Amino acid sequence: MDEKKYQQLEQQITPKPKYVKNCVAAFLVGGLICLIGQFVALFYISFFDFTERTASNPTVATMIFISMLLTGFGYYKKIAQVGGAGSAVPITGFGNAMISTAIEHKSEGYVLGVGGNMFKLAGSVIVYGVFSAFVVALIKTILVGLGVVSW
Amino acid sequence: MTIRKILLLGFILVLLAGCSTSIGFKTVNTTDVDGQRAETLVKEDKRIKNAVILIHDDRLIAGLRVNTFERFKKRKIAKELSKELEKLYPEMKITVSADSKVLLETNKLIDEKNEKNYAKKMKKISSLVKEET
Amino acid sequence: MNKRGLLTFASKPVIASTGVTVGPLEMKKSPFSKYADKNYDDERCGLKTNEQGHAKMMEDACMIAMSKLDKTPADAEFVLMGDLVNEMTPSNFAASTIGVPYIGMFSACATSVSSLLMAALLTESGMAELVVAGSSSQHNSIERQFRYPLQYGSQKGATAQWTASAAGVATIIPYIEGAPIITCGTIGIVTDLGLTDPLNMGAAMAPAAADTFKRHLEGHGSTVEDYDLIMTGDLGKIGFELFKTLLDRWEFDVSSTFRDAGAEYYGKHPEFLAGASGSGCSASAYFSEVYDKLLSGVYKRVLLIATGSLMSPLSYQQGETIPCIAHAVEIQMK
Repeated sequence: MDEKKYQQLEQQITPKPKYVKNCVAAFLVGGLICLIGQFVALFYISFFDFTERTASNPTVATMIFISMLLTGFGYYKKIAQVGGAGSAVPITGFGNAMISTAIEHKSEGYVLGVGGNMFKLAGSVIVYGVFSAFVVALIKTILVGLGVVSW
Repeated sequence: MTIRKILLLGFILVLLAGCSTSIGFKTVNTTDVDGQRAETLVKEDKRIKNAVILIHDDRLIAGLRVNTFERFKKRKIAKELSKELEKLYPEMKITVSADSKVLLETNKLIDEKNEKNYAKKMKKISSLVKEET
Repeated sequence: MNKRGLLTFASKPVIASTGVTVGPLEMKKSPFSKYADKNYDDERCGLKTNEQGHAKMMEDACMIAMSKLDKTPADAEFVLMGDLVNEMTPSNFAASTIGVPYIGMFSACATSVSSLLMAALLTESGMAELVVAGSSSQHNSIERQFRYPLQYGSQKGATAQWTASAAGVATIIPYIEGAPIITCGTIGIVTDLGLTDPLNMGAAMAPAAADTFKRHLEGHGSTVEDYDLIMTGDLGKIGFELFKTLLDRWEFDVSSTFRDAGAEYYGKHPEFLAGASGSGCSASAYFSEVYDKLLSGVYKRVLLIATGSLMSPLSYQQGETIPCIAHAVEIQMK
């Protein structure tokens, strides 16, 4: 049996991922997470001295806290199985990536285990987040320098 | 199954109710200067759907809510209006913001109808707007 | 006739007893659990780490298998076992507790059969009177080894398999009456048809299983009709489908006698997607249900083909394909 023929057969038999269903689920789950985030932000705006701009920090912290609880009790995994990208893209997914590794590596101790591995999955988000921010800032600086756009 | 339907209905109702809260346009003026000009300026701006303007002592605070699809430009809109209001009232300290906090707080202040608090609270709102991040 | 990799045991070594332990989730969801000897309320078996729990499951399975012969593990001459964690540490720790001459076996999820074959060989050679063979896997420690942290939310497709928490151990002794005989076996050839998705291991392993199956039947001169049961290890629903399609193309009759432990391991629960995997999956299915049914005479002659994907997290991250192996063992009850 040669490789190509088998791979064709494998393609036929393996069920195709349900892209439309997954997209809808991701949209709903992601939207629901953001809706909750919006309510949290509104809570901080109405009851504390935060403006729309400054409320984002405590909102992020609260969302990560909620995600931490859900991860610890094993619910986030279940949400992610339904939501896919919808639960991975919001800040809660970032929190989940960090917290799950921290829980996982607790058995190796706090320094080499938790500390050393916490950013194992989330680290690439930070690296490429910072890198892409740098690139975008560079492009904008050049464009402003050329007088195409203004700040 | 029925519980799900009720939940869904409740959810939709809450959503729709959330959409319909409207403050409209409101102006409160405790000074002798002409507040009408500020109100017409804001009202005539098509991009703004709600606005609360409070004029007290030497301060003017305008809290705006812009149309949904103008939200990306809300800081720019607030800046433009701020400049125009500064032209109209050169002697006043002017705070214009499209941040919903300003709208909410100013509206609350007006609803409380306690003029003694105005100066203090208005100063606080102005300082909140200046805060970054 | 190509005789490569074929084993025939003329001295008829038998499986004298088995010991199977399963984790708490398997106890609740697996139809095989009713044949198991022991289960735990806790995935770590009350110990501090998942790996310790893993070793404990293995150890207990050995103890149970030996106690059924009224012996202690120290009476065994050899112990052959393996698992999937780094350097098979759980098996090593279990072996250290048992204190019997030990050979670590690794054929990924095919370890259940490879250790059984080696044990039969040792018995056949006359070097051993009592050999313990088995393999185990534990969900938490193996997910961590090969995939993401346990609580990390990643969406798995329909092809993904769930590593079973289970251990299965058999004791092999020279021929006695009334015990299932290991008559012959086939050592698999590593097959790699260029699949790279570590979440679709069943599809990668199916050709290896089909190849071993064909070689076994041709080499030992048997037909599908000779067997009451032909059971693959952990191909899962998709891999099993592919396996049967391949056999169908080679004109074998695949209508009735075929089963797959992985596909059946979690019954009809949809949350386990394509089924179970892990070296404990095939071991616990073979040494519980299949063994019991051999003893009670439901099955007279069975062919067990355990499959394993020989990859590591490093190899698939470097974009390598997944080499796979399948070993077959034939067991008869007279």
